[in-house]
Amino acid sequence: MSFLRPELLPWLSALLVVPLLYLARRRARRVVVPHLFLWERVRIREGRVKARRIRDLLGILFQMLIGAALILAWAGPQREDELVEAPRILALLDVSAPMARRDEDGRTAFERARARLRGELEGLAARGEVGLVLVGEGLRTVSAPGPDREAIRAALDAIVPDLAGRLDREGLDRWVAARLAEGRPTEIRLYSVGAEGEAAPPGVLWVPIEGPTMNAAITRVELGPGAEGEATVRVGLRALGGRFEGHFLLRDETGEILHDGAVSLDDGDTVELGAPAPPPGTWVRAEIERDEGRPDAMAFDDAVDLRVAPRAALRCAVVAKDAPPRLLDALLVCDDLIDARAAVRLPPESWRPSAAEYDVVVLCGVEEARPLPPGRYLLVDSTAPGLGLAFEGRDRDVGILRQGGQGPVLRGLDLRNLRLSEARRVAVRPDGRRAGVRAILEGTTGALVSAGEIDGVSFVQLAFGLEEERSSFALLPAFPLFVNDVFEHLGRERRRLLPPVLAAGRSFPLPVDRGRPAARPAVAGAEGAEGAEGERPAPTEGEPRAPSEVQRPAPAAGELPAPAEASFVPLEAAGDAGRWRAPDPAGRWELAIGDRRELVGVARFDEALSDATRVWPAPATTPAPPEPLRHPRQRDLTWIFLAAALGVLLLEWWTYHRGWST
Amino acid sequence: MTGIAGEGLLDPAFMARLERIELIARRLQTGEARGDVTTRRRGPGSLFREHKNYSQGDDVRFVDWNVYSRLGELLVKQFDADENLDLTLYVDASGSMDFGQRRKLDFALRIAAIVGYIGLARQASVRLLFLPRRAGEDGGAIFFGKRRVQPFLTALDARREARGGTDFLREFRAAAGSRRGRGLAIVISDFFSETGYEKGLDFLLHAGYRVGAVQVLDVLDARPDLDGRLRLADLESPRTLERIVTRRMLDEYEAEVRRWCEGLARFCGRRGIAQVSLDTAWDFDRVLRSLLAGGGFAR
Repeated sequence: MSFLRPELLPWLSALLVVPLLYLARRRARRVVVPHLFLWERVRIREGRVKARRIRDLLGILFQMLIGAALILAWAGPQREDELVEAPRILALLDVSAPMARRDEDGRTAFERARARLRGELEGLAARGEVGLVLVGEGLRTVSAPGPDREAIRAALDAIVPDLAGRLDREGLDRWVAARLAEGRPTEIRLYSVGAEGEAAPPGVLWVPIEGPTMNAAITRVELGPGAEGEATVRVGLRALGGRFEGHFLLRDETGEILHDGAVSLDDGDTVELGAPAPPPGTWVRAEIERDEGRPDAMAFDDAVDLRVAPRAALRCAVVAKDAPPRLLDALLVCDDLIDARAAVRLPPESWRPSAAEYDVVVLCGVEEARPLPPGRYLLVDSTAPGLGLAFEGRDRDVGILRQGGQGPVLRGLDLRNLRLSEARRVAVRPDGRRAGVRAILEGTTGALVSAGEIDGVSFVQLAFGLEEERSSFALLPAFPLFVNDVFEHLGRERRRLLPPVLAAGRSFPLPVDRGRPAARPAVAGAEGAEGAEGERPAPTEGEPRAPSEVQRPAPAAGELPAPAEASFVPLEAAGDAGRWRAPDPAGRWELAIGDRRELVGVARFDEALSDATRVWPAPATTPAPPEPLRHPRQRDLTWIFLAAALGVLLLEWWTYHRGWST
Repeated sequence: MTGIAGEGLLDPAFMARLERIELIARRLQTGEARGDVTTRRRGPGSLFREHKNYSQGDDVRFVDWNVYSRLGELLVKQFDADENLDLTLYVDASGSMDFGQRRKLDFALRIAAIVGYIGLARQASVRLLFLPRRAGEDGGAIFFGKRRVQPFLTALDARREARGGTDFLREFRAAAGSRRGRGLAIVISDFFSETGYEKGLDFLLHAGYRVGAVQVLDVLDARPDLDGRLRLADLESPRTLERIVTRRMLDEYEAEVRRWCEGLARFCGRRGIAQVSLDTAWDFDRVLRSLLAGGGFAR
C-alpha cells in the first residue's frame, strides 16, 4: 500500500493526544451544582463505575481508530494492484502423420493428445479463453477462443483427423508470429509428439505426447546359421505406428555400414531381416532409420549394440532319475562353457554306452557297482568303486571340519558355513592318496568334497545330495561358480569352438551422429548440434550397460522362466513375462505369452539396448509459456478508510448510547 | 418564543406586558370601597361566588329572590370578600438560584415583578423580601400604589446577585418578627433547601398569612449536563463531592429531584398552599396563565 500524500502520515502521532486527554480527564473536573444534597442521596454502584471505565477505554480506542482512519484517508491510500488481462490460450493439436503412432493399447498419439487436452481443458479455461486449432499440412481453426468450455469440449470431440502429411512448419511459424504480434496475452500450446514438437516455434509451449517414440523397434536379435550355414544376424523389426519406410543398417565400430537393407512396414507389421554376421569378436550396431524427408515417422529410430563373441563349450550328460533342478540351472548358467543344446539326460541303467560322446558326465544319486569307464565325472551323492574312496553309509547332522586348499574347484569359495543334514561317510583310501585323490572339504563324516584322477577317470565327488532338505549347497550363490569351476577343471582339455554368439551389453563409441537421424529436423542448440560429426556416446549416452551374464532361474518341469535380460519380452507383452520352453533344434526358445507362441533367440540381448520404450525428454529449447500481460494500476482506498472511520464512529455511538448503558 | 428570564425588568417590552396584566386586573376588580383585591374569603364583595341555604341570621338582602320565585327555595348569594391586601413577596436569591440554562434568579425576579405589579395595580401593599437577607434588609421594602411600580421594579432589578444558602424558617421568622401576619405571602424559590421548606411554610401559615409557593425550575435542575469524573461543588456551601457521573446516575438524580418536587406539591396541597411550578423556559403568557389559573393566588 502506498500513499499519495505520505507527508501527512506523521500526523498519526497526533493521535497520542487522545490518551493524553483521557489521562487529563481522569482528574475530576470541578462542576458547581445547585443542590449537592440531592446528589448525595444518589447511590453509587461500583459495577457501573467499572463498566464506565471500560467504556471510556473503548472510547479512547475508537477515537484513535477514527482519527487514524481519517488521517490515512487524508493521506490518499493506494493499493498497488495489477490488471491481469485474461490470456488467450490457443491449443494446437498436431494432426500430421506422426500423430498416427499407436501405443500398446492401440491408441494413436492424436487420441492421447486429445485426451490430454480434454483433461487440461478445465484448468486452461479457468485461466483464459481457449481456442482450438488443428495443425498439419495447414492450419484450421476448430473453435475460436472463448470461455464456453462445453463448446470447446464438443469441438474437440468432433475432430476426425486424417493424420497424414507433414507439419507445415513454415506456415506454423508465420501463424504463431502473427498471433504473438497481436499484443494480446497469448499462450500457444502445441500438443504433438516429439518429432515435430522439438522444433516448436519460439513462443510456443510444446506439450509432448508421451508414448512410443520409435518409428520402428528392434524386437529381437539372434545369431544363427543362414540358409547356407553361414553366420547370420537375424533382427526382428516392428513398425510402431503408421507406415514405416526406411533402412536396416548394420555398422561396425568404425561406423562403416556392413549391411544396408530397405524396410517397408505398415502399422504394426513385423519383419525379420538377416545380415551376414561380422567376424567373432567385433562390435556391431543394428540400427533402423527412416528415409530422409518422409513425414510418416517419428524422430527416433531404434538401435542395438551387439558383440559377436566366440564361445567354447563342453558337451554334458546328466545321469539321474530325478535331476536336481538347481544343478540344471547351474549348467545353463554356465553356457559359455557348456553347450546346452548338446546336453542330454541319460537314465542311470543305460548311460555307459554313450558316455564317451560327452565331455563331462554328471552322476546324480547313482550307485554304480562297477568302476567308471575312463572319462570326466561329476559325482553328486553317487558312488562307484575304483575311485580311491571308501563309502561307508550315511550320517546325519554333519559338521564342517576343514576346507583344505583352494584347489581347482573351490577357487575363492568358502564352504565352511555349509549346512548339511545328511551326507555319506567317505574316506580317501591309501591307494587313492597315492593316485592323487584328495579331500577338498572335510566334515565329521569324512571327505565331503573330493577330487582326483585315477585310472583314466577324472572326477569331482560330492558326498551329499543337492536337494534342499539335505544340503544348502545348491542354494548358495557359490554353487554355479562351483559347477563352472568343476567343468573348467574337468573339461580343460576338451573344449571346442562353437558358433559365435551375439553379446550385447557394452556400448562403444561410434563416429556417427545417431542423434540426427535422416529425417530429423535440425534444432538449434539441440543435442548433437555441436560436434555432431564427432565421436559421441552410444544411444544410452554413456550409461554403463551391464554385460549380459544370464542368470536364469531354475527350470521346473521342463520349463525355464524367461531370462530377464531378453529385451523384447517386455516389449512384446508388457506385464507378462511369459514362459520359456525347451529350445528348438536351431537353438531358439519358445516363448509362450498368453495364447501366443513365439520363437525367440536367447542371445545376450539387453532391454536397455533397445530405445523402443524410451521416453525422450523435452528438448532444452522448449519455450517457456508466455507470461500473461499484467497492467499495473493503483486502486484508491480512501473510501475504505472513510467507511472504516464511519463504522467505528457508529460503533462508538452504539457503545455509548445503545449497547452499553452506564 | 423566548422565556421571560432574558427580558430586562425595566425594558419597555416587559413594561408593556405588565400593562396588559393591569387590564386583566381591572376586569377582575368589582368592589370600590371594599378594596381592590378579591380574596377567597366569603363576605361582602362584588364577585358572586355561590348560593347557600338561608339560615337564621343571614342578611335578607342577599336572598336570591329570583331563585325563590322559580324554585320556592330560599337561597342566599355569597360573594368573595373584597378587601385591601398586604402582599409579601419572598424572592429566593440564594446560590442555587444562580443556576440554570436560563438563570433561575432572573426568572424569579420577573415572576415577582408580575405578581407585584398586579398587587400594586390593585392597591395592595407589596412588601419585597429577598432570601437570604442581607444586612439591613430585615423588614424589606414596602410599596403601595401603582405609582410605586417603577421603584418596585428598580428594587427587584437591584438584586442580581444570588449567593448563600436558604433557611426558610429562619428567614421567614426574621422577616415576620413578632407581627401578626396579614394578607398573602408568596414565596418564589426553587425550594431546594437542605434544611427543607416545610417548617418555613408552616411558620407563615401559623403567622396568619395565606401562602403561595411558586417553584422556579430549570431544565438543568432535573437533568444537568454532566458526564464523567467530576468534583461537584455546592453553590450554597463549600462542600464538594467527587463522583463518576453516568447516565444511570443521572437517571437516579432526576428521580430524586422529581420526588423532591412531588413532595413539595403534596405538602402544599395538604396545607392549602397555592403552589405552582414554573419552568424558566416558559414565555410570559404561559407564566401568567399558570400563575392565574394554576396558582389562584394572583386573582
